[in-house]
Amino acid sequence: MIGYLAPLRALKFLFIKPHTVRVPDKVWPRWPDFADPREGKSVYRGTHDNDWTKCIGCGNCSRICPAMAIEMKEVPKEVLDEIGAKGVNKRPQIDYGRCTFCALCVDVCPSGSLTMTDNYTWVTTDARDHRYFFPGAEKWKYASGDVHTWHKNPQSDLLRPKPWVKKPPQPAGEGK
Amino acid sequence: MPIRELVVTYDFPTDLHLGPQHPGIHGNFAYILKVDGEKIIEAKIVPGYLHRAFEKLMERRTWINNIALIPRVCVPEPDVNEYAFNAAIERIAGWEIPPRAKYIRTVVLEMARISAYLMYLASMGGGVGVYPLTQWAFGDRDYILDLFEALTGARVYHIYMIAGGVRRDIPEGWLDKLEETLKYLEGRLKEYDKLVMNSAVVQRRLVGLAPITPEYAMEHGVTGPNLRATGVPYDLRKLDPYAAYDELDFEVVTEKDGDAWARFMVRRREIDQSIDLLRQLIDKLRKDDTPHIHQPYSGLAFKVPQGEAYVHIESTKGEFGYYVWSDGGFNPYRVFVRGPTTSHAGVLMEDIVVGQELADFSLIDGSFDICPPDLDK
Repeated sequence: MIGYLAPLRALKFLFIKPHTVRVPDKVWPRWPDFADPREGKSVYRGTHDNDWTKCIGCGNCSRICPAMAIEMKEVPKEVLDEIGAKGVNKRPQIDYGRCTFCALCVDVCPSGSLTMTDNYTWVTTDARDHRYFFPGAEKWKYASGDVHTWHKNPQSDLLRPKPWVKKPPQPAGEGK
Repeated sequence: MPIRELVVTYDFPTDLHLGPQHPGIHGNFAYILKVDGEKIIEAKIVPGYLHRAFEKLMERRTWINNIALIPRVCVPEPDVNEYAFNAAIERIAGWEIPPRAKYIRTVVLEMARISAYLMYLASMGGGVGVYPLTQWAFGDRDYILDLFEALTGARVYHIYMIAGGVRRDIPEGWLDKLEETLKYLEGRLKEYDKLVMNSAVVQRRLVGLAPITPEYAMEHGVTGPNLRATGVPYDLRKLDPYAAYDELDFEVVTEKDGDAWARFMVRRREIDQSIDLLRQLIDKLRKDDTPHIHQPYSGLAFKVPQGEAYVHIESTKGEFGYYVWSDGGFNPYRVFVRGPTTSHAGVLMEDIVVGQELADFSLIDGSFDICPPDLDK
């Protein structure tokens, strides 16, 4: 039915509960003023985390990064010896001004140490924290969420080829 | 004294700079209008605010790195770029991809269509003055983005398709969630119809506004829903089926009049069509057990054999095309992007708005679904 009063039907929505989400009370451990708006879904590509004990410092992540955001930075040998880490004493440092959150770095990580977490927001008062984000280092621990949502997975592992061979169609009458 | 005499009138045309920071302009794009009172007598487009030299940047990145760059060519519907670019690689390399990858890609493309059309409805709601439509459509679009997040890991730039298929398989229980969302959307669209489609206010604004004839449209390179609104059943999903569209059952949506209302209605009806297509795809995905990717390459970079391919696909803005040329190396030798907005904004708008009222300008601009990034690319 066409009429000038049709838009007034929208008024009934005044009495329906809103579908916007309230900011939950979960707050950041270090910056209690900024609330975390919500949790990411099970494969969300949020801020990075790097397990320094697993990382071997190969630099695959820095080589594939489309935005050239990852730089392999030297870490003192003593720090790595203390936690029992292996490999080269270099760890990825990410420039979040350039990062596109494509997670290609995670998919080419041979050791599976680099992951992405469910962090939607990350607030800091020091601008250098964004420019030189060093996942895994003690100073940036607060920015690495607890839930590793996008991580190395046999499905998304780019290092392992997964060729698919088309099965020839079964001729009728065979198989039984 | 009559109020008319108090109004100062000029007997010379005024230059009006509309955009890029104007709520009625869709994206970073500007027009310089010459107006005589309320009448537009000349329009000039001012593109370039979003120029980031995508085509040149693609030549400097490896094939796999490009998938993080190409979605930026069309912001409201990034997946068409991902599909066209990767399909071009597959065509050059001669790979055949598994049916499951095709189905998942089609699901992503159709969901992107719904989300882009909801954004279109929202922008039109703002132009007409029916603000509940704007808020509802943006709110409901977020449910689609939630599904994208659960499937691809990101809400807007999904970076999900990759040469040979998609990066991950569908998570468990995701198809049920999609079904739920589709059911919810169907209920909501009925409310939209009650609010907008049956509203005489909206109809009086849109019916007969900036009509184009099929001949005029084809002469000016108009494609997509704008062309279908003039009655031409031109839909690449039907005419040159890609992904899994040849296995799906659907009719091309057309309208007759070619005015803003017809363009609006084509898009509204295509949301219904996309919901129907997604339901068909859910059934197909439930039966299919092939892998989600055919990945014969390994590691950080791979070479694509020498060759060239042009892949054109149907987006919500019109026909999107990627011409990819490989010289057998790690990077594309040349990529050319054919964006629909080049003909819609670059050619059509300067011509069609002449003689229209200034108040209708942003409605006309919105009704053609102008999306500047692919003009600037």
